[in-house]
Amino acid sequence: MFEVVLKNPKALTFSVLFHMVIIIAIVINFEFFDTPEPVQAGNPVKAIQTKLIDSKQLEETKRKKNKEKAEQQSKKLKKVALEKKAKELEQKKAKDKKIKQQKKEAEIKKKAAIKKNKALKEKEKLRVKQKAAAKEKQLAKQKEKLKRAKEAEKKQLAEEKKKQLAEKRRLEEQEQKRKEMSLKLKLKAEELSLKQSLLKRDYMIAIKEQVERNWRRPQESSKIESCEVRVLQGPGGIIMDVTFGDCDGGTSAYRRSIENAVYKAEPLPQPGDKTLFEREINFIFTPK
Amino acid sequence: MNDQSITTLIAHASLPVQLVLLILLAASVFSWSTMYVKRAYIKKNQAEASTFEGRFWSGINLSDLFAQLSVRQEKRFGLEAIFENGFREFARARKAELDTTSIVNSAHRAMKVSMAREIESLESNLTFLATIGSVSPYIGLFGTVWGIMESFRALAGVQQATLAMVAPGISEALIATAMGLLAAIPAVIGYNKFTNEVDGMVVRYENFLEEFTGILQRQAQVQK
Repeated sequence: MFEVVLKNPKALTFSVLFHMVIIIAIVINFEFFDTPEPVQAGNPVKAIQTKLIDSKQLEETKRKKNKEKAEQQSKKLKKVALEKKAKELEQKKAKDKKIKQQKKEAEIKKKAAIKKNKALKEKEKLRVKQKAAAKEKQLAKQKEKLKRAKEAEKKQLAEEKKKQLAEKRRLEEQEQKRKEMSLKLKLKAEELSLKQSLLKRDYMIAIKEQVERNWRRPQESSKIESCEVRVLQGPGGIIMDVTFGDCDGGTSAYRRSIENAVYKAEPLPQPGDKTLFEREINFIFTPK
Repeated sequence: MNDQSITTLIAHASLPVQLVLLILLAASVFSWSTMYVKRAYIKKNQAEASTFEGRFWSGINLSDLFAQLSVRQEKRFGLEAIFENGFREFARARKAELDTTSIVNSAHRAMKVSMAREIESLESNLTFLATIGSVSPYIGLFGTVWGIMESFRALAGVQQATLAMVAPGISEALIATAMGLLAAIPAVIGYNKFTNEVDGMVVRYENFLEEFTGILQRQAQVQK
């Protein structure tokens, strides 16, 4: 029993790997996702009593604490208000002094500023003139650049158009080639199928003729007509069975003569192409 | 016992339960690998039968086919083996100039023997799968019963018994049943699938054998 398995290490490794995967999947699933919460040990009644007592005491102590806090806060607020008033008075005095000093400084600064402005305006006029000249030069340069760029773009567009046209031509040529190839292939296939069908017709005719050659006219029969014969053949043209299809006019003696002819024709001729071999062969027997 | 994961449960299990789990794991591994082997073998046989039938009915001369087969060195199986044995016996009997019926009979007998051998190799190891499929649930059940027995025995000495004392033991015992089913279900499915496929192959072989016997009979008559 185990020999087969041990002879095939591939099968064994497949199986072992498969089981390892399953086991790992199960372990991971149980340990990290589905672990049931452990039931807590101990007396649950006790826990509930202690909680009730605790809550009552807590409420009383909370009230006391709240009152004390409120008193302390009101005292603090009063102290803070007094301190604020003193500070404000001091600040007002300091502000008055600062304002006076600032006014004096401002007057001095204004005088100096007027002098500076005059000098600056003269300098700015010179600068503006220089800038205007520079701008004109730059504009001229930019115009030239634009012209060059436009020309280059035109050239590129023309080249691209040329390339696209070339590609189109190539594609068209390829398509034409493909069409030609497919046509050739179709023609070849048609030729082949024609050849095959011709071979098959030859094969059928060969069988029919071989049967008809081996036929002997039965003595008693007077009226003889064509008859549809169905032959089952095995490999090598061995006849397995003979049955008759549409054969209304034939007497039993006539049919027997055909059957004998088929068996005498054994082995049946083989087709030129072996793929054309068929187990069941139908043909119409026409006596001469 | 706060950690209830499956690994700790197995680690805490008693020795017989662990042994049962080990046996079931081994059984599962072996059943899967036999299924792998059998599947490959049956597929190979089916493919061989298809290709050989195609060749046989391609209109090739039987003695040519036989010559082609006997040139090949590799070991033959399936329809090829049946055909080769039958045709060899047919040729031997015809050389001995026996009458038609005894020629055909001896060829038929040789093919029957060959076919029986082929079917046997197709069916080999299927009983192993059937055994695992039917027995592993019982082994698992044994492990479970043993584990539950142990956990109840531990309860016997305690004054106040609680569920928490028995639950882990029963849980670990039930793992054995789960493992048994896990081993059994694929084995049963595989067994049913493979027996069905082997039956199909048997019918195919028998059909071929009858047809081939008819052909041989006709050939023997023609040669006379």
